[in-house]
Amino acid sequence: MRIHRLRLENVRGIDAQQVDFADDGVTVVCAPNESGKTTLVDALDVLFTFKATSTATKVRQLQPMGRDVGSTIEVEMTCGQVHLTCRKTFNKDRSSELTIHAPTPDTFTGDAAHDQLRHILKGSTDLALFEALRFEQGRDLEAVGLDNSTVLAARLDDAAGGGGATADDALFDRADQQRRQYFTPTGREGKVLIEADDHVGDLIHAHSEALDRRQQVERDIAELTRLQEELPILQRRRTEELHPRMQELRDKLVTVRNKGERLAARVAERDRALQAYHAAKQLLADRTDRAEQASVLEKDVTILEAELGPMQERVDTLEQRLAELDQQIDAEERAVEVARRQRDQAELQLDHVAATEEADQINARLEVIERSKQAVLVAERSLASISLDDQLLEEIRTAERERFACQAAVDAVAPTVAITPRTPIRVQLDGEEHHLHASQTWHGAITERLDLDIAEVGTLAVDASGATKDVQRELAEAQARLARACQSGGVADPDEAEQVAQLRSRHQQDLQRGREALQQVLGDDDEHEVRARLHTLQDQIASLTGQLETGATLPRADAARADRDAARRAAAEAEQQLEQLRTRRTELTEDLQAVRDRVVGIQAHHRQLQQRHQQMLDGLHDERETRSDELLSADVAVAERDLDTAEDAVHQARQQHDELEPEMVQMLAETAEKRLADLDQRVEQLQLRREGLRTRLELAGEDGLAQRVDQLAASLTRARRERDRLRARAGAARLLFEMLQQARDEAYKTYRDPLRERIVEQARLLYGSDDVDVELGDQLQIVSRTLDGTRLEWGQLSAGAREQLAILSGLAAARIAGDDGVPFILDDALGYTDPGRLERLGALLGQVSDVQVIVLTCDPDRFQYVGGAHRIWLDELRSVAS
Amino acid sequence: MTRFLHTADWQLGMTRHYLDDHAQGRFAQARIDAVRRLAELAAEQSCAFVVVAGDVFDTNQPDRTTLGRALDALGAFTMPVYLLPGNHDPLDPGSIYRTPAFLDRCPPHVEVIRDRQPRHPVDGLELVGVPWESKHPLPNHLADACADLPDDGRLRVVVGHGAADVISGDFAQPGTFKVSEVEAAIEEGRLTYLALGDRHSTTSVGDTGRIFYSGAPEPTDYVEQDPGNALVVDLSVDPIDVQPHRIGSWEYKIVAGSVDDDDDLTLLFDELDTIGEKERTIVKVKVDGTLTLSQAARLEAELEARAEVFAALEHPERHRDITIRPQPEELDALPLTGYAEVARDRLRELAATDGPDAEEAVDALALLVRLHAEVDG
Repeated sequence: MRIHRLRLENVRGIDAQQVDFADDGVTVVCAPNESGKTTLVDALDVLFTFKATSTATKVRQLQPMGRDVGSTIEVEMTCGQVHLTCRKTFNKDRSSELTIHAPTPDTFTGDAAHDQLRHILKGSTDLALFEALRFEQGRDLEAVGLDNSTVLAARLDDAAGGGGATADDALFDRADQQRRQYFTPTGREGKVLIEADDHVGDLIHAHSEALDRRQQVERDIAELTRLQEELPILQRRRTEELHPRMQELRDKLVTVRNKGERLAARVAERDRALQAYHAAKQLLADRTDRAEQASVLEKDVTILEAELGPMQERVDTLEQRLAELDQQIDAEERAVEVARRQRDQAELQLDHVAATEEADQINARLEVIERSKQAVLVAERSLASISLDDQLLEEIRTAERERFACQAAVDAVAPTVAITPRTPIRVQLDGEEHHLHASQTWHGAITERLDLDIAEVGTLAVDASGATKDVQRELAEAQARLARACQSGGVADPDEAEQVAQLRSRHQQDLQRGREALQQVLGDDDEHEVRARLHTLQDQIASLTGQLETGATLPRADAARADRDAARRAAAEAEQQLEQLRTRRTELTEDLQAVRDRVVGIQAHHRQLQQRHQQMLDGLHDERETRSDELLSADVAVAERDLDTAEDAVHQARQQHDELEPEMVQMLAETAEKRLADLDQRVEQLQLRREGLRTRLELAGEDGLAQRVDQLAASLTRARRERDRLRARAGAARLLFEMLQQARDEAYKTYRDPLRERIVEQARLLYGSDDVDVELGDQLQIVSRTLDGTRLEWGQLSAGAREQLAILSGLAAARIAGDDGVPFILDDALGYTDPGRLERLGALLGQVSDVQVIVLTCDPDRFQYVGGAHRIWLDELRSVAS
Repeated sequence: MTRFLHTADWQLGMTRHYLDDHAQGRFAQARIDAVRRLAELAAEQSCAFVVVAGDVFDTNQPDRTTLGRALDALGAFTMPVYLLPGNHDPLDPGSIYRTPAFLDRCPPHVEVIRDRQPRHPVDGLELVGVPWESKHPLPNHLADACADLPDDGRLRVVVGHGAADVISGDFAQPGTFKVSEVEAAIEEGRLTYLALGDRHSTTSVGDTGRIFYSGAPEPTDYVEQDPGNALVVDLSVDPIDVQPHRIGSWEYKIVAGSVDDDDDLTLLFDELDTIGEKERTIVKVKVDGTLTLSQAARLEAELEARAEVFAALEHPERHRDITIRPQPEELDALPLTGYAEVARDRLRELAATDGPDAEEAVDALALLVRLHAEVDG
């Protein structure tokens, strides 16, 4: 499409305008704001879209405000091979006229003109591209999509070698819709498939449950059938097998019991025979035993009589030895008496000597005690007379040191006066007269006012300074404190205090020594106790003196102790000898008594044995009178024969009893009882079980379970079939979509490249860099730009960059579309572009010769760099038009 | 009166997976209605009694509705009715005939044959039933029962259930009996007529003219040859008279053939359209062949349209019974360009393989054709 000329009359604010466009290259239409530039483009839309008779809003908006006139739009253009002029008047005096100049001249009016125009446009003009290539500032700052352009798509497809992306996307969308019936946009299975699976799953579950229940019923039936077969068998077994067997065993048990009783009777008889046999044997044995006992007793009596003679002789010997021993004991008792008396005298002597020695020692201690007590008393009295203690002494010493310090201060601060007369003089110092020899110097410290009266010379008064007085006063105070301390200590001065202190120390040492001596002599004793001990000893000495034999000479202590020890040993030896004799006598007495007792015992035993022997002889005699020994032996032989007979009878009876296997019969009978009980219990259990199963089956029979299973199975079959069909449809829909999508993605990638290359080619010139690239989206819009290694998304680019890239994109599209393309219209563009880029962009536009570019601007300077552009100023045109 | 009604295999409560819920309800009710028609027939034909030779119920645990309606329909009979437990409703411990629900509501003129003891529904006639006591009886139990009868030449009807060896060909199957032995018993004067159930097609067995399967009063499957009848048996004539009477109102039908082009399809649809009483007809379209995409789409669309009319219309299975071969011309005719054309060609290649995805590719191509038609308007 090429627009050669556009004329407007009474359109909005334009009375009459005509613009002639260059067929190729750039036409710049310059006009101030609000002068109607955009109206030119809008007018083309209305002309192409609406009939002259239309009352659409866009049509009505053509009419100038407040003027009831028709609005006329006239365009001369070439569409494909058709060169035409179309003129339409809207709103008033409506008319349409289409004049075809070439290839075959023709004219249409009215709706036919409109229809013919639409037909020509549809057949030759890519209206989608015409819409896309109108750059209006603001709108086109967004990425422009070119994907709706069939011409561009065809050209790109051709450029890419064909085979690509011109398919109708409606088919793709429809396939996508179809897929989305079954799947989510992300490819997961959709609700319809999930519900179909869930439905099948629910039915499987329900069918399985119902089937389980029905199988349970089948098992119940099988079990009940088995029970019904088993119960009669069990009952038959009870009556035909177990019960007769039980009866048989019971009969056997009776026989066993009878045989047992018979055996017991035979055993009792045997026991009685055995008892009789034992009794007969016992009688015979007793007779023999007693005869033997009588013989033994007779022997014992003889033995005892033989023992008695020697025993009597032994008694006599022991009595003689005892009399001799008594004599020895009497002599020894007398010797012991003498030794004891001698030992007691030696003891008394030793006690006397020891008491006397201890009394002497106590007297010596008492003398030392008296002396020490006297020394202590003297020291205590001396100390009592001294009032100066250690504290007072320390106070005096402190006051003395302070006084010395104050005196030193006075000496240091007080002025001194030295008087050295050349001749002897007499002076009075503070009223005290002093005589000074020639050249004798008198020194004085001025601590207070000094009145110096020098005879025949006059008086001189010297006063102490203020500081001197202060230290003088402190000195006086120190002296006063010293005086008070000395007074308290009862001394005149510190020197006396030191002397008194030394004296007090000596008294204290004496006192200490006296006390220590006293302590040493007393130890832990009390003086009174010592004196009491002395009195006790004196009494003891007096008593011992009275006990000692008259005329005894007291030896010394060591000798007394030796005498005492010797006497003790002698007494002990005598006593030991006596004790030995007495022990021997005791032993002898005991031996004698033992022998006497033995004699008495033998005599008693002898008498007893004799008596018993006689009794036994008498008893045997009586018994033999009753039944002789021979008869007793005959009785034993008879009883033995009876016993053998009874044993045979028992053996016979036991054999008959044991042949019946009584234990086994008992066990079999007990087992049969248990089996019968078990069988009865089993029958009862089965009957109960049978009743339970019957009840359950009755309930199941009324529950319609089997029919329910069949219904669920039928529903499940139908649901599976439906689900499989659904899945087949879903699979087909997904496969178709995926195939289309894959092919489209491949095609888009291929056929976007020519457009991208054309844009990049222009961008390299614009940016002056070879390192430029752009990325195109599905709608052929720019989605990113890479410049000098930096990639920015479309939204990250500056407004100027987006504006420039949008123009480059549109220009590239227009150039690719070529002769089948449409004019590239820039309305008020490049408002964001800096001058440097304006110059480069202008140069780019200036090079365009194969595309019709129409620029509408209020700022001609923006396009001053477009070389060779056809420029039109709106005012100029207005005048020309009018 | 020696005329009675011989029927069997009511299969009350039967469920069929190819019936939707609505059709299933009508199918079940039709069987109840058939019982009522049997009552009317028995009355019209002055039957002295009715024997139902097994399988009154399809299972031993029918639902309450089935049982209630069955007992209610049984109430319509005006003569004694003898129900024989068959292999579907054996007289096992779980039998429906033992439940209080049945016993309490069973009409007084209806008796379940629980043993082989003779019954005497009319004077001079003895009725002996051989009930199934479990699902797995011994073979030849029926012939053995006949052989045990006295050879007294008495008018005796035996009611049994099971397969005849001359028909099933498998004597080992439970309940199968040897026809020759029954015929021998007839010859020996032990029985006059054997009323059989189990086979749903009305069938005369053997050469005596005294052994019959009455067939089911309503059909139950496609394979049945002459279902939907009941037999009125008159023993007073010689030879005895056995007359079938139509009871059934439903029909199973198989429409078979091959479909390889549009003409075949047209014939198929015409055949379907000629079937009468479609609401009570269950049809299986059992066709095979090779169709193009558009023909397959046509087949499915036409069958879908008719499925709503029939009680059930079982389709041939796509890709199993019908092979779909996309034709080059029908795909090339699509005015596709660009990537759509590429996608189509790839699908076509995939459809031509033997892989598991080939069928899905065929379906995708069919969908492509349909969607293109919709988009293209």
